[in-house]
Order: sequence, then C-alpha cells, then structure tokens
Amino acid sequence: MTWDNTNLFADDKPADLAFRKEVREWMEKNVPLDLCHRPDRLTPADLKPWHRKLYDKGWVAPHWSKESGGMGATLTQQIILFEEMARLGVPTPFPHGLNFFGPILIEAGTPEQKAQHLPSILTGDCTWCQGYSESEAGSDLASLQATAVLKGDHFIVNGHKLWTTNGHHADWMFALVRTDPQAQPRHAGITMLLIDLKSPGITIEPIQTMRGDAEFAQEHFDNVRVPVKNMIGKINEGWKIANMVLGSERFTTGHPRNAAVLLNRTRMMAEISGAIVDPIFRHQLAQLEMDLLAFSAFYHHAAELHALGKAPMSMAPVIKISGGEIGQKASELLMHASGPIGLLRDNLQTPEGLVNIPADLFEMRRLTVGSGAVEIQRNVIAKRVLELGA
Amino acid sequence: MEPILNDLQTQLRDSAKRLCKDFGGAAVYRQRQQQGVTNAWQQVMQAGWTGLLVSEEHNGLGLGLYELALILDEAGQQLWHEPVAATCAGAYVLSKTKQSHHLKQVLEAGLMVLPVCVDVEDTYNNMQSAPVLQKSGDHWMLNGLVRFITFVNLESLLLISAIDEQGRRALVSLSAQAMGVLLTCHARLDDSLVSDIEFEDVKIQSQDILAWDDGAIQLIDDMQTILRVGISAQLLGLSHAALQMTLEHLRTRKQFGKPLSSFQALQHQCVNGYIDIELNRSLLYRTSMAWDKHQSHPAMMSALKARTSRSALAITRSAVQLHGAMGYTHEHNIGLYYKQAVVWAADQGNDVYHAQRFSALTLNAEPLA
Repeated sequence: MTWDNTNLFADDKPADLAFRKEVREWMEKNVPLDLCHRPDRLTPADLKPWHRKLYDKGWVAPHWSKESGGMGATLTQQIILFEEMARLGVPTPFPHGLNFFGPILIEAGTPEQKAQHLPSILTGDCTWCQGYSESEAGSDLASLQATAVLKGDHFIVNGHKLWTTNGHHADWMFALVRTDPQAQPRHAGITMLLIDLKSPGITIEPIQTMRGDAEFAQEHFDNVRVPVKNMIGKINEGWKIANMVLGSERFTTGHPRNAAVLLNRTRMMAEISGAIVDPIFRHQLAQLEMDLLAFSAFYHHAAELHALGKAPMSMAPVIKISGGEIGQKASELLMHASGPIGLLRDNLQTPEGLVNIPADLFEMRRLTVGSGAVEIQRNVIAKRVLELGA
Repeated sequence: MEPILNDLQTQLRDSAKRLCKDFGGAAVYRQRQQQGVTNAWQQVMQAGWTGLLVSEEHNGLGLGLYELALILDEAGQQLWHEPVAATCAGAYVLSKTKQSHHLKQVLEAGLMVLPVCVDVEDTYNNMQSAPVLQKSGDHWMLNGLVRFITFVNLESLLLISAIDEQGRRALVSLSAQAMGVLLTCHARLDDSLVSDIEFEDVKIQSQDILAWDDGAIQLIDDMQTILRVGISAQLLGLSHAALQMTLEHLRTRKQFGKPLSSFQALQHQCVNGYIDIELNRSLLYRTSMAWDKHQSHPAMMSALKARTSRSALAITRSAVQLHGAMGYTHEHNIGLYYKQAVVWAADQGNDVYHAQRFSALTLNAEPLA
C-alpha cells in the first residue's frame, strides 16, 4: 500500500468527486507552467494573467456568493480548488483582496463601495494590502496609533503602517486607524478606511525579509486626505468590522498539504544527501509525518463540522498553531536532511524541479508570527476555551 | 472537537458514559488488586459491547471500530480497565471463523476472549517468539512461553498466534484451563495483573486451529488493530480527564495572591496538552472510521498509538507537576492517571516502536546500506 501524505483522510462525496475531476482536467490544461513550483517569491504582477484566467473560468472567488460575483461554492469545493492547484504547484491568487477584504466589503460595504471595488478585486486589476500592524501595535493590535481626523467630507490620516504584505505593489489599502484617542476600551476608537495609495502624502518603502526579498513594506501617511465615502461601516466600528469575517480562508492557508510538500522535499533531499539511511533521521521524519497525519485528521474533521455550522471557536487557533509549527519543523528537518548542499544560496536543480532550501527555511519562520503570533493564539485558547485567566 | 454522531452512536456514548462512571473511577482503581473479575463484566455483556464488532447475522451489534473507540474513550476517562477491546477482537475473529459455540458463550455467558499475539517485531518486547505447533498423529502439540499477557483468568478463551515448525503462521483457540497450560501472574505498577503463559505439550485438535497462513495473518492483524485502537482511545480519554482535573486545580489553587490559572507559563502547558488531545481525537475518529470502511493503512494505527502514548505521558507528567507536592502523594488521584498512562503507553507497543513501524510502512525509500 502506498502512502500519499498529500491526500490523508480526504474523502470526497460522489458530487465532489465529479467536481474534482472537472477541476483537475481544467487545471492540467490551463495552469501556466512558468509559475509552477517556483522557489522565488512571485509578485501580484506575476500572478495577474493567472488570476484573470481563474476569473474568466468563474473560479477565482469560490467563497463569495453568486450575487457578489463569486462562485457560491461549498467549503469542500473551495478546498478541492485549492488542493488541485497545490497538486500542480501553481500559486493561488493573493488573498488580501479576495479573502481578507472582499468578504468584509460584501458584508459591510455600501452599494457604491461594492460597485467601485468588487469587480476589480475579482478581475485582479486592483491589488489590495492590509494596513493593520504598526511598530507599536503588533500582537497588541488595539494599541494602534495612526490617526484619522474628520474634516468635512474628508479624514486627514497621519501615522504609519508596518509589515504590510505587498504594500509596495498595492493600489489600495484597507486600514484600521484611530478616530477616538480617548476611547476605552481602546478598540472602541478604531475605524476602517479604504486608502488609495496614489494619494498625495504617502511614502512607501519595501522591507527586505531574512529570505532576502521584499515581501512587505512600511507606509508613512502625512496629512493624507481620505474621503468619508471610503469609510467601511460607521466611525469607531472598525474593530468589530475587521473581526466579523473569520472565515474559511483558514482552510486554505492552513491546509496540511503545505507541510506535506516540505516533508516530501525532505525525503527527496535525504535520498540525495544520504541521510535517508540514518535511523535517527528516519525516526525524526516519522514523528513529523505522524504529526501531519493527526493534523490532517483534525483538518478534515474541522471542515466537516464547519460545513454543518458546528465548528468550535478553538478550530481557527488550533489550525494556525499546528499547521504553522509542523511546517516550521518540516523546514528545519529539510535543512538538516540536505546536508551541506542545503546551505547553498542559489536554487538547486533536483529530480523534482528547482528548490531553494534556505528560502523554505526562512519562509516558514513567518507562519508562527504573521496574522497573530502563536503565543497570542495560545492565550486565546487558554482564556476562551480552557477558561484559564486572572 | 465533538465527533459527528447519529442517534444510535449518541445513545451508545451516553450509556458508555454512565456505565464507565458507575463501574470505574479512582475508588475502583484503588481496589484493583482485591477485585479480580468484577460484576461490571455482566453489564458489559448485557450492553452488547462484547459483540460490538460481530455482524447482526451472528447476533452481534454489527457496529464498528469507531463505536468501540467512543466507548473506550469514556472508559479511559474513568481509568476503567476491562478486556473490552480484547474480547471485541476475539469475538470478531470467532464470528469470522464460524466458531458459533464459543461466540454464543461470549455473547450470552460472558466468556472473555483474549488474543495472545506476541509481536515478534516489537523491539521492546523482550525478544519473545510465538509458541510452536508440532504435528503429532491426528492432532498437534503446542509448546512455548509468552509473557506479560493482560487479563488472563482460568475461564478465558485464548486466541493464540502460533507457528509450526516450517514457520507457517496459525491461529489457535485454546481454553486457559487446558492441560499443560501454566499461568504465572505478576502485579504491575498500576495494580493490574499480567500473566506469563507456558504451553507444555498442550494438545491441540485440528478444529481448534482457526486459520493458517495468510488467513491467520489477516485475523491476527485485525485483532492487533482492534487492540491498538482500543488502548489508544483509552489513552485519549485518560489524557482528557487528567487535563480537566489539572485545569480545575489551576482555577482554584492560589499562590502569590492569585489563581495559578493566571500564570501564562502554566496556561501554555495546558494549551499544548489540549491541542495534542484535539488532534489525537480527530485521528482516533478518522482512523477507526477508515478501518470500518476498509480504507485504512496499517501505518495509521501506529501513528495513533505512538501519538496517544506520547501525549498521555506528557500530559500526565505535566498534570502531576502542576499539582505540586500534592501530586506526588499516594492519596491524590492525579497520580493514578500518571501510572495508568505509563502502563497503557507501553501496552500494545510503545511510541518509539510504533514510530519505527510507521516509518517502515510509509518510507518507500530503501536504505542503501
């Protein structure tokens, strides 16, 4: 019996099987081969033609309702689309417009805002970034200090935003800003604004990551005028709005396949380096494969409960912590298994295509920090699930 | 996360919760040495659990490993220690081999069936080998020694994994009272008993050899799967109960003027245990359902046993630690969970053995040397 760690406990119903077949056939004909299995970081511009192709097929926004221009897909169908793209190693479109902001706009935007922004998110013509973090507001996001002061029909925005993925590539930012400095609790004084990044007064600097490329950026706002019509929801309701859509994207960003790919690469590199004959290495690999199996079981169990509307609150932090930490350990074992060749900075040509072991190692570091550090996720479980507190 | 259950499964779990509460718990654990066979077994039989894996056509409940896992999770929470998985495995084999006389005794008279399958590949199992069958006229003779078998008593029926002189595998059914069967009992650290069973020229009739070769290997493998999943479910239940007890302690015990539960270092220890339990719970459900649907891979059972063993040891170790000096006393019940975890983690193969087995079953690449 063969062991396929990318497909553990997957169990399609007959209708889903038909959908998977359709997706697989289409993907095999249509994925852009030059984007597949790329070890370097791709920009929104690189992905635009692929984004557009998925849009033309009607599959770019599976989780959006049909009225909003999406596919109205079930969670299982969303997962199938992700899995079939991952199988071929083609990237999924950037999530900031489609997954993070789009659902907020659909839920809380005015008809004018929707008409202005939904179509260009769908086609990929407009690139979005998320303006939440600041230098003094990371894990403690509610302490953010960028201000917006209402002057007639405009807000005047001052301050800065940091760690903004694609900030230097984006056209628009959905940002959380402080509109009431005195508000208690602090999150009651926060508003969500949509900022056209071509507005006067904005400077944007890309930031190099430890991987050696610019994934994120910082933005300075100096008396930037933002029309009131670009506010989402009401003033001082930004915190509630930012938290209202906690959605199914956990099921793609947290898919166990991400770690499976790294473990399979680890196995391949161990065969090249010779580490595969080391019983201690094999034991370490087995431990991670077993963790991945358990995580896959949790993932499919969670998806089934989510589809029934019964997923518990703990689901999202558990997926975030487990998926992130298994992926990290896999990237560390990959480096270990590769031996001296793993230390080389340039891409390696392997039987499985180009790989870059340091890039994998460094890329995984962000999984346990970005969008809520795992320590904060553990605090959330301690307080809200285990009822431990002061 | 909660399992997804139909009405029947919900009822089954509720009744298991009740029964395990009534017949298990710390007080019962503490009397283990005096008890021998308890009257709980009568209830187990009446609830139909011994026939859980036997098809309805053979008067069983016709349910699966998933349902057995639901029951034994409850048993583990109550430190309840009865040969339910063993007898389910035995009854399953008796039904597959058409041993209707013995099966009737299991289902209606409370006969316990005990698989005696020493795992010769288990590197931690004292290099045991299977008992040997020798042809002798129209019957066979069985010789050998197997050690550390749980739950054996004189009334039980043994299902023995044996080999003949050519190394062919056979599955033998034998009463523990048969001539030439010698039992020696030892108490373990959790006050349970294990037996060494010596077979000295034990006469075996041909009809008591239930299967040979691949047929025998398949049935033995099925029994081991049932036992491994069963004890994993118990380890999961035990871990859950130990964690709950620890959480309650942290919420109520105060030091430095505030409850222990307010210290982040202690919170995060509990969260790690909680996440382990959540993943193992899903793994238990998915693995047992996969077996019921004939879609499982044998490596899954090893992953399950390895992970539930490792987690139970980590969680009960942390539980004892977080109870402070009280946790180290004979009087406090948290120590019972720790002891039970140590024993169940070793039963049916420890986590290191199962990690090795998992590796051998999944790592296709052959070592070069």
